[in-house]
Amino acid sequence: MNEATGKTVLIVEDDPDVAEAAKIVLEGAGYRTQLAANAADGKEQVRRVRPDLILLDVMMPAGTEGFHFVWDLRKEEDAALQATPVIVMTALHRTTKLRFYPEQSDSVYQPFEYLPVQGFLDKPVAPTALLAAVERALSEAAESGR
Amino acid sequence: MSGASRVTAGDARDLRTEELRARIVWLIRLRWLAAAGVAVVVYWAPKLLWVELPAQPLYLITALLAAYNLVLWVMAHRYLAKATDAAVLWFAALQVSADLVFLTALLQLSGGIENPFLCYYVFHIVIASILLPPHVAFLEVGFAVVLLLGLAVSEASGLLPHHHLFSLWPIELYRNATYLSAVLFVTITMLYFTAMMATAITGRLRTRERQIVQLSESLQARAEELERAYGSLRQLEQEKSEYLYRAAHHLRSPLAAVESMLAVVAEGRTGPMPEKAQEMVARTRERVKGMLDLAHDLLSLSQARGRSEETSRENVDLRRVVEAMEGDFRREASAAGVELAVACSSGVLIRGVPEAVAELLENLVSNAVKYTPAGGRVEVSVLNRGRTAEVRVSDTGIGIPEEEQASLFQEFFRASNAREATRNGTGLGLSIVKAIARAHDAEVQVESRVGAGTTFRVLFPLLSPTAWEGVPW
Repeated sequence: MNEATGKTVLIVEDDPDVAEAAKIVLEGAGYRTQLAANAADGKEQVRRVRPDLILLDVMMPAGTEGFHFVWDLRKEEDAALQATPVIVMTALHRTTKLRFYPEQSDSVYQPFEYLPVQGFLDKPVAPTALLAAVERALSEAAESGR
Repeated sequence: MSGASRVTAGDARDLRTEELRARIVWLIRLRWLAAAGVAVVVYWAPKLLWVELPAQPLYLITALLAAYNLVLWVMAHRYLAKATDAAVLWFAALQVSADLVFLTALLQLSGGIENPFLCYYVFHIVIASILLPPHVAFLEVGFAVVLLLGLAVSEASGLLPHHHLFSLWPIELYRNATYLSAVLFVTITMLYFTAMMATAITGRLRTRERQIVQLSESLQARAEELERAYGSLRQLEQEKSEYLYRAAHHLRSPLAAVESMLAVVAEGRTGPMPEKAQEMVARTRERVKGMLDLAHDLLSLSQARGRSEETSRENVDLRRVVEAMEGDFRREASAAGVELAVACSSGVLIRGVPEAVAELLENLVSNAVKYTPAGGRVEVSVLNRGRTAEVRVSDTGIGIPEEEQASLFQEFFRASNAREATRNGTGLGLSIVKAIARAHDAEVQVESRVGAGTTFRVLFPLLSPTAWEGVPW
């Protein structure tokens, strides 16, 4: 819990209700949060806020905006920004190969196979699952950064 | 468009001309035989039957017949295929006429009206009746009669010399009025009767042929109609699935948001709540969960029904699908206090969509766990049944009343004892199982007894071992 203190999570989500639910959960656990309602705003905030982690809704208005957001992020010149861990939230429902993994031990799945992200959450996201995913992604990022 | 060849009234006419072409070729072949036959008779008859024949003129006529046939043969091979319907008809009619002339010439040189080969006119009339339209056939009969009368009259009147056939016969027979009228009457009536019968039979056959063509035409039209109807039905089904998918998806997003917010509240993350409020929020979440399940199942169902195309199919190793989900199943079973046993043969492969097969399995197993009281047992197995791959999920649960088993795969149907056991359940799980099975050409079998348990068997077509290479799953 203490590790969370001071870490900033950027929530890129067009549904304000979902965004706020996540914000309450994360802030309650000691994280700082920033909200972005669309990908453009998200990109802008990534540069400005330099978040420790991005919580991304994959189905933003343009349909697959979230995917492009990730690919653009991974092309960033700034190495630190480029490596920002991303957790994708989706209500895509069993779209081929998106969420079928050999080990579905919990609702946080294995690193995303086709999208370079660190975690994957199915909506509705349970608060405990959200926190577990964020903690794991952050600690993995810290380990690989060391 | 369709693979089957289409027969039309135009084709029927083509068929008739086609048949006429074939018959003309046949007639030419027959004429070689006739020429050979004449030559043999001219050679042997005087030796065997003591008849007197003017051999040289007869051989000359036979040679002419052969030469004429050669010309016909060349013409037939060069032009027949390309000739118009009318030209083919003329070609046939002229041949029949020429044959009559040849027959008459041969008869004139071999006893004329006294020659028993006189009855060979009948062959020509039969051929004419089969080949030609009735009115042309009767014109040929008229022509034959003219030739026959001309032969008789010109010999009797001395216009043409008479060649005695049989030296033993009365010489004056060809001038005998009674004999002449009898032979002419019999021959001419025979020719007309033959033409009448042969054209009538041919006409009936042609009518039958037309009817068959019409019948096959209307059958084809009906088949095309059906094909179109089936196509639009499929389209409708597809659109329905897509609509259902979009509707369910739009239902799911706000429900997910509701649940996300309720979860935050229920877990006290927005501050403490009075006890009654906690209870009400918990019940609200329960209902929202039911609606989310419904939206989820509707999505699955519409996906299973909308997906019959081959594109996303792979070779699927059933054991690996079960193994991938075994952890989930075990957690589910132990939460319900149910023992879970998994027994899978290796190398049981099918062609399919792994996610869909997993979903089918998930539905069957969670049903089994859900309707098996604590202390019971659920068994999941994958078996090689020779030509089929069997996925079997059996339980020692509450079972399904026999009279309700038929409705089991209907959408939203839940067995009476299942409804009593739990309010949770969308009634779509088995519809999804059925839809996925159908998309995989698989058969679903149920065996159940109330109080004893239920066994579901899904029989997939087994993939042949030659297809085993490069199995990703």
